[in-house]
Amino acid sequence: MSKIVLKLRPNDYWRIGEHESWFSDMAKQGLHLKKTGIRFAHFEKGEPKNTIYRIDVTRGGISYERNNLYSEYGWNYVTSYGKFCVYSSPAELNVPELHTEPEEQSYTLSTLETELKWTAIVVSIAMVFFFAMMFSIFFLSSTPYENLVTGQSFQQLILVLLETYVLLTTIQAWFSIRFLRKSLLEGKPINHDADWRKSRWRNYAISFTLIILSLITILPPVISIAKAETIPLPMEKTNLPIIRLAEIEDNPDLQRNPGYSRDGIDHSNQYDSNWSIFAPIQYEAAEHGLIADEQWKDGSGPYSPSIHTQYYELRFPGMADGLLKDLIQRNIYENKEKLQRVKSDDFDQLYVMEDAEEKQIFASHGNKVFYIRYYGYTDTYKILALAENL
Amino acid sequence: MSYTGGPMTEAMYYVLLTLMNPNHGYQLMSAVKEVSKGRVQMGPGTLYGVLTRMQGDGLIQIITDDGRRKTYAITSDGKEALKQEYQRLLALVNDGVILEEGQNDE
Repeated sequence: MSKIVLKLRPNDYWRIGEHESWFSDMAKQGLHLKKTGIRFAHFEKGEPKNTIYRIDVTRGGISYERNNLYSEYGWNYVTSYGKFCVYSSPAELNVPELHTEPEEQSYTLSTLETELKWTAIVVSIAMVFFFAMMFSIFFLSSTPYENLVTGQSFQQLILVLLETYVLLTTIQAWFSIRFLRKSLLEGKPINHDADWRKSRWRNYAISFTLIILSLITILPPVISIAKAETIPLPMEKTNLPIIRLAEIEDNPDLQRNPGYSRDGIDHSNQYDSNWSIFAPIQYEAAEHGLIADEQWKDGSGPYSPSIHTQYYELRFPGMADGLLKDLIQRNIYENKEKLQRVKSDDFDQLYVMEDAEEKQIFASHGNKVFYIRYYGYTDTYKILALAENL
Repeated sequence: MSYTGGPMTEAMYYVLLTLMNPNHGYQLMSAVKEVSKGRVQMGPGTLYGVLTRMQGDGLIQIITDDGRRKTYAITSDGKEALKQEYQRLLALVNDGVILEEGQNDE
């Protein structure tokens, strides 16, 4: 088995002359073309040879008739990518050129041009819908920061970049082939020694960026799913940045009030741990309690306080204000005027909404943001005191 | 790219001319070289392209195909087009006779 070497293609796939001279230069270094992929070309390592390569654009697929005809005249089929077929011939054989009339060669490109044109049109239309969708997600959403933090919209942002690149290259390919055809019709043959080195660094940079962007699109959701956990809340105090009912109620008769259970987890007494690229630490906890000897003041039954905590540690503290506003937006539907902004030394931003039984706290400090919703009779300031420790 | 009666490429003209006598695809290249007295040496890519194109335009057709070799021949449309092109080229040459006269005067 000969050694296979992969090399990044230094030019766009539609640049015929540059590819022909690149393949020849590689052969002179002992690398002989075996196969072409989208970004890479596969070469077999061997002895340096002086090989000429020519790329013939076809109307359809590989034709045995054509390959036979070409090989009769010294041109051997190597590989193909899309409508581009690569043929080679040893330089010393001095075989006649594949194409001797530029005008006729221009006609062979007609199917390719039509295909590129329609691809460009279809992709452009698809892009209009795509961009409209992205626009609505970002600019019409009522909670853009929450979207970013809970993870989906970041991927979509990257997709916008990738799709824009696809659109631009599709249009560029179409125009490039159009230009080549015009040039051929004027009698100018393809330059088989076109300089493939000229724009290679630009192309390497683009290939590299695309690979990174693709990884960024795929990896975060995978990591997020891998790290997500739902865990039953232990009875005793934990190190988690959440407030426990026991700390608030301060009543030895407090018991756990279990709720709906599934897979061994009591969903009224559990916490979720999540990860996203913008908020690597996220907790959401729910706890329900019961003090059988006490009653709700409205006579609705035994006193059953509950507390719900949402806690975020952001990668960028600058997002804290936006996230806080989004949390308020998401959780306060009515009586918005009852929401009070409170000045505090312990928090950068603090909003409180309280009535007899329901108390809600929205707060941020540095890169930490949290939201607490408590049903019970304990005073808000006591909860705030505990919240300072988060 | 249907042929609409404009000037023909050399490849097109000579292949049509050669196919006034039915010929195998493989023999066409040497046949064209003969007919043009060595002046026109077509590359296989050009030949294949021209055959495909003219077949699509109905100027030539395959009359036998035994699976390995195809025999091409010119069609009546092709003959018409060829004759018109010949007349056009003739007109060009005849109108250019002043170039000869110019040389005689010198």
